[in-house]
Amino acid sequence: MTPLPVQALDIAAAVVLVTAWVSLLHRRIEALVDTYAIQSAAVALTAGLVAYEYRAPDLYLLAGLTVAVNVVALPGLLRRVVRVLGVPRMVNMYASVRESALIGLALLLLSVWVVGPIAPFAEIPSAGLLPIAVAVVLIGFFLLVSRRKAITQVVGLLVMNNGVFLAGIALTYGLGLLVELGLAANLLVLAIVARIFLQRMKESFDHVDADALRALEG
Amino acid sequence: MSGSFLAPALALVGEYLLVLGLSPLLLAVLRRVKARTQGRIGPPLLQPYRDLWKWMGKDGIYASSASWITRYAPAISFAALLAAVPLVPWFVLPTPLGPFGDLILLVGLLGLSRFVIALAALDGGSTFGGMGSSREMWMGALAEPVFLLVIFAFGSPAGSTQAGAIAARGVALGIAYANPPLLLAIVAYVLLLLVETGRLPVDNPATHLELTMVHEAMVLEYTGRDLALIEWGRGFKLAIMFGLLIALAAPWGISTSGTLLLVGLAVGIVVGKLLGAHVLVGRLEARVAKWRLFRVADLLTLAAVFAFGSLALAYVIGGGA
Repeated sequence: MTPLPVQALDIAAAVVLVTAWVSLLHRRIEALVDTYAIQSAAVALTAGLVAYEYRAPDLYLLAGLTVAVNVVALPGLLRRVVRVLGVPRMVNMYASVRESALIGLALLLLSVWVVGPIAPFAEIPSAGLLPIAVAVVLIGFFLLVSRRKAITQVVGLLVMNNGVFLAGIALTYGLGLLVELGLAANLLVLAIVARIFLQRMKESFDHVDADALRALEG
Repeated sequence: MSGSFLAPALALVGEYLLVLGLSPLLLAVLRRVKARTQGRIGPPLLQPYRDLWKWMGKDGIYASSASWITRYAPAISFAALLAAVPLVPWFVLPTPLGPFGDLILLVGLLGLSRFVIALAALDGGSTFGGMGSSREMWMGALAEPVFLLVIFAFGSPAGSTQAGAIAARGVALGIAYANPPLLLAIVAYVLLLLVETGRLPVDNPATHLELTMVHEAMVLEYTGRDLALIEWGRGFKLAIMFGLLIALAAPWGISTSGTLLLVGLAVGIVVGKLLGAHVLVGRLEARVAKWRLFRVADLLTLAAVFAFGSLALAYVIGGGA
């Protein structure tokens, strides 16, 4: 019988997967950002559970950091961008909702097929999370490439990051505090850069549709 | 449960009393919660009983063009739903009737109940009836395979499509029953439940606006006793779907022993869970607007995808552990 925190860890990871999936379906940017916040909270929970189960106090710090940056700061920033720039609130996409959901399923099956056989060899109880984490990374990547607005692409990148974080927790109990700190700081910087970039884009072109940038290729 | 004949019979009667007697109240609670959330007072909690009583005292009126189908459809639909009640483990395990039918039969019975009503709606020859049954059958045709997939997702770890067997496994495993595949299956089931019972983002049970109604359009022609049967059946179909969700997703509390005290406790627990589920749907209904009809396909695609994902993950975890 698996110990209770490990089981809770599984459930939290499943929440991360479900939210990644749900983020493929949103048509409004605010809903997408909210879903991302929930997902980050689930990631923070997994970090907290791992810290508790394996007596790794530095992971508590990491969980707190995730809450501060990924649950509060980044979504707040993104909401502000949407509000301040007056970005049209619809998520433009290359794939329909139905296609996105099915592609999400295909990505999950892919990661189950490829990563599933490897996971049991890692001798940690939480290695079962690995297929889920890889699926989240892939879904985040799909979100990144299938959406047209720059801001939704940023969310795709953030979802990918959550997946990487989850994989790190599942396999190594955190990538090491310093690496994680650097990663979190990077993310924040990235979001700020994206904000400034979006602002410039809005001022120069009067829209934030990344697709229209191709016109410059001539 | 001893080998006697009496105890299962009593349990069966108890289940019917619980489901038939309580489902109007649960529906009233749902409406009340929805009204309160929207800042209205809402109808009194006994209103569904009063409605049923009023309708029961009146004869049906039939269009001159209607055939026997219109007359018998409500009773057939009601009977199909009645037959579905003992398929769900409510508060005792093993289920009183034992392995007399599984969840595939349940899907079939719900399909039969839907089919006869759709047929009756066409029978009257009114425009609304045809429109409503067309929409209902379109949704039904999409929902049924997804329903089966969801059942397989719940059933594959237990190796059975018997709700009793699945719930018994859950009760035996305790908290260890909860795992990622189960979570995905629950999400899929909840999405499906909204379609299957015609709740808000899919169909608005409170509207009679011709453009949007689905179920209401089909039963527009009915009055009196027939309407009572249809509305009552609809109420306890909701209870059946929730009861199944509770039995499959959170079966803890269902009594596996025959002592009266434990069974009584189990009844209390299941009523509490049913109330909770109705309150949640009431709150959801207060917040969402009805979706465009064709987005229902999106919802069902998502449910199918979650159910399939659940099966895939169950395969990994089953192989890994």
